[in-house]
Amino acid sequence: MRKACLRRVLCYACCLSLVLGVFAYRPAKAEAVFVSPLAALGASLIASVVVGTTATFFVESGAADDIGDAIDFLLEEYISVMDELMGYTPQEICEIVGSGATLEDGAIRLSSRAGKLTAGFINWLQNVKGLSADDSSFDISVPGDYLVSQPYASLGFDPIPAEFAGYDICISYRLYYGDYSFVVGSSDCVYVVDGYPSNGHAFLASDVFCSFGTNYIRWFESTVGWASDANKPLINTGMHPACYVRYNPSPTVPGADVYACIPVWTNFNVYKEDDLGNRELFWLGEGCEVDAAVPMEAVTLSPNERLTSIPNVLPDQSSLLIGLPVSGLDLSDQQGAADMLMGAINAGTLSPSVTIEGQATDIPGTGTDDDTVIAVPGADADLLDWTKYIGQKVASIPKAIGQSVAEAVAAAFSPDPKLVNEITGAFSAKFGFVETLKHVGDDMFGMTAASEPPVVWIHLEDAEGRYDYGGTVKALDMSWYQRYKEDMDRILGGFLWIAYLWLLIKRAPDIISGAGMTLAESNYIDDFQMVSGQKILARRSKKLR
Amino acid sequence: MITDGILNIIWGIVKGPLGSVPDLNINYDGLSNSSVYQYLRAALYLFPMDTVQSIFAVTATLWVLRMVIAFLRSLWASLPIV
Repeated sequence: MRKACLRRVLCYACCLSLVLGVFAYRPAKAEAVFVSPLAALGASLIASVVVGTTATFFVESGAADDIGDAIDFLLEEYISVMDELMGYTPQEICEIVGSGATLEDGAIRLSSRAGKLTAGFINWLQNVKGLSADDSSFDISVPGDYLVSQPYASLGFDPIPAEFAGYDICISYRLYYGDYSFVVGSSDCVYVVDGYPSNGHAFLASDVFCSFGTNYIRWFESTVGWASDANKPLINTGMHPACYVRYNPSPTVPGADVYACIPVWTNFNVYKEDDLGNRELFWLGEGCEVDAAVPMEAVTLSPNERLTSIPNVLPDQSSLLIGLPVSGLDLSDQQGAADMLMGAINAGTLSPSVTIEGQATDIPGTGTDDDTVIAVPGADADLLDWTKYIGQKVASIPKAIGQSVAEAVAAAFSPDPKLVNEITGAFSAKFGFVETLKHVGDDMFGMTAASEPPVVWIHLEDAEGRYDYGGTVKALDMSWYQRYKEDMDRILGGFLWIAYLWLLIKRAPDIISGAGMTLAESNYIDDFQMVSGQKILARRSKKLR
Repeated sequence: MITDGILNIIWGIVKGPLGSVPDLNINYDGLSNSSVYQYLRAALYLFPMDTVQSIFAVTATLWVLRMVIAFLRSLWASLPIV
């Protein structure tokens, strides 16, 4: 009896744990940050307004060619802080800012929510990164930890082979990591004259995001250059091609980013391209293998770099209107407009203005009601303020306790994403037919009046025999029904719902009582038995008599 | 932590046999080009599939509801005070 009881308790504990695990499990956040042009543009413009019209941005290693690079770097850092502080994922932030930003004639308008996030960016620039409105330049400190190794690979064409005469020479750059491979970038194609590139030099630069599973890897920079110096190979790789790698083994843990060099194979593909853009692979070259034995170094933000609150710079029910004194903007082409504005910022010819439209009352908060900032009253505050303050703090205790309990439950019951990935990956690999079944389900159950009507084809060309029966012909074309389908679906759906609800009502007592799918009943007392001395259950009858 | 332990035990048991199971795949192109498949699609085109899906969803939800009620009832019945 005790054994049975123990077994039951163990069974319940396992079930409960797995159920809690299911609810507590949160898939690892995707760490790749894809900043929409408008989001980057909005932040860039505002930063430009803050620093003045002649803003110059510098990175540690020298002047940035493109202000967008510097702003992107800051924006990415800010997003990671917001992710940590406010619980927004990078994707959510980008979606909020991207969807809340609209280009108007000569202005970009940010919605209240997007404006708050962007305004938070200003505050962060000012208070955390130390940027003031009087500054004409601003040093951005780029961590040097990315550079861990400098492998060097070179291709020696001096001069460029004669086959390229009359063609462009192009080079692309491919990285390999485990089973993954991808082209990082391609050089400018350069016309070859007398065995040398017509412009004397060309550069390949790439700055791409790559994602392996839940871990986030980014190549910051790779360069291929043509050197015109006769003492050097005509084509060589300019810099450490594959080692600007950021690897985060545990994306769910803030500050756990590890900057490391992981083994990556590289090679260079050399193409020749004719005037029509037809490309032919000329040489597939092996590159270098990056040294795997490189020490990892953790990078974390220092406490004073953490954002503690978002300023009350933008009231609710208002929008941020940034005036853009640039003529000729094609608003239908957002990417083109963004490029044009970015170019104007780079050239220092843009002097945008910022105005707030809508309610002018200052409302504390950070974008949602839950994030209201409570200011601590000063020394001259009256007792009522203190009472309110204490009352608010006391009222927040249950919420804090709830959050603590939720975090503890999540920590205890949330399964390791790596283990979940391993299990799901193993099952996906073994049972690939599930994906096919999903396709089949979509095919069968996803048909609507708007979708393509099914057509049954007969392939007569496949028929065996000495006669030619023709090609593929339609056996049944359901397109005739498409015009009626929407109305007929409504009519048939109505009847189906009536019939189903009627059956449901008939079964309502069973559903409410949690009865099984089948019921047994009997008119014979022998078919009943006593259980626990209290209950009478029909156990032996398997069919209706 | 706790769920990890349980999953590790189950996974440890399942992993071995799973490794010996051959990869099971169905060629979608071959399937979707078969006559039976196409005729079935044509027949189902006449049905209001969004309604059918909704009914399936409601039915599945009711199954889950009944399972939860049955679980709670058995939990209650297992208590020594009842």
